[in-house]
Amino acid sequence: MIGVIGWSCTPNAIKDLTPEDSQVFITNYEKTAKFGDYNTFSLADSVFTLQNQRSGVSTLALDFRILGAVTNNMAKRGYSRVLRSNKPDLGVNVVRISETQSGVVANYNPWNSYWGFGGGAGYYYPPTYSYYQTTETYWYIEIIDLKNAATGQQASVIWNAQIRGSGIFDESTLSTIIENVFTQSSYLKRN
Amino acid sequence: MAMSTPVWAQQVIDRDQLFKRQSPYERYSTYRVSITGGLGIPMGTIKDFMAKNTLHNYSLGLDFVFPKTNLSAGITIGSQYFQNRLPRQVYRFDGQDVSAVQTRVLSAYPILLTGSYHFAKVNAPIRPYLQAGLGGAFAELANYYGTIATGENGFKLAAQATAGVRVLFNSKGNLGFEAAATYQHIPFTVANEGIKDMSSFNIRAGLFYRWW
Repeated sequence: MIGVIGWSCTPNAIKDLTPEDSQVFITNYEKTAKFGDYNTFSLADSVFTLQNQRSGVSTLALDFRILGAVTNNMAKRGYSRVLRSNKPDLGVNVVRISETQSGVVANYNPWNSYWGFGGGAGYYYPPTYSYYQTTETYWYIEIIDLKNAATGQQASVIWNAQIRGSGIFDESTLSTIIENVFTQSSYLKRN
Repeated sequence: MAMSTPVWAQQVIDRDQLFKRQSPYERYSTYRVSITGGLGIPMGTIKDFMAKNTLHNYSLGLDFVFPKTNLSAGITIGSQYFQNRLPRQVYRFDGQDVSAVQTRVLSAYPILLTGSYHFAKVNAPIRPYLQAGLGGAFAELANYYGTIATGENGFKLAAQATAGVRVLFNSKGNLGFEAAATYQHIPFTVANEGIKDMSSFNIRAGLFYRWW
């Protein structure tokens, strides 16, 4: 599992990453789910947006592009799209999430912090702090199991994908990205 | 006369005796500083994580050199940095697949107290030596999935064992060449990467300067 941790110093190691190389596709799946047992899916005709607890819907050209790409790939895997009213087995949601994080990090000085002084002359360099605020926007796609959802209970998510990095809102590359996400999820197909 | 005053003769060293006197290096504790750099090779459980060697590998040592015992004691600081970028691939975990370009980084800044034994007298033009060092290191292991950072860092124990040689450019001079091979061990556990230690084999060369 990927645990994300904060870094105190600027990571020079990734400065030269191209936008394409910065992209990360993370897919999670429910190991007990039998993906072959589902036949149909429904997909909203707009993208949901989540921004720091606020939610909405979006229908930009970009949004139709990703919805189309997801629909195509689901169809290629043997699932047929039906209307919500026709009791689909699976529900597919595409969400664009913006998260703002702020925090404070103590700038680590390996010599001071442990010895308490900066050398023979008795200098002491107090720790410095940096404040940061970052906003990351990324795609989140989820598939929920409507077929086995009991009435009145929340349906469970059997698959989700996070698409993160630079250049992921570029219309020209979006189809390829979605293609990659499905390629790494080879189990996601109808029998 | 009943009393005679003793005569305190001034101590005069004859010219020929002057050149028989031991050099200050043989009489006093003297100082030596050495700066070396070179190759670093990951060893132990870190080897699978970091498949690349590094040339960003420096060491600075300051020693008190003792005159009679062939021993010296000192302090060493260092800087080591490894980096390896892996092409895009899918990493499979339990119920999770991650497609990413990984950038793997290891860095260590050791600070150690050292003790050395030399296999030649203090003024010998060529002095092979063995050195042991113990201290700590600010160590960091980072594995970037794209720009998403994962990893560990902290101040860890560090130990070194070194075999090396120092060669004076001029047998009565201060400056010389130094080459050494060092095994460095830092206990550093990163469970999800299967890492128990951050060890490295280092081959460094450089210069030393001695004075009194």
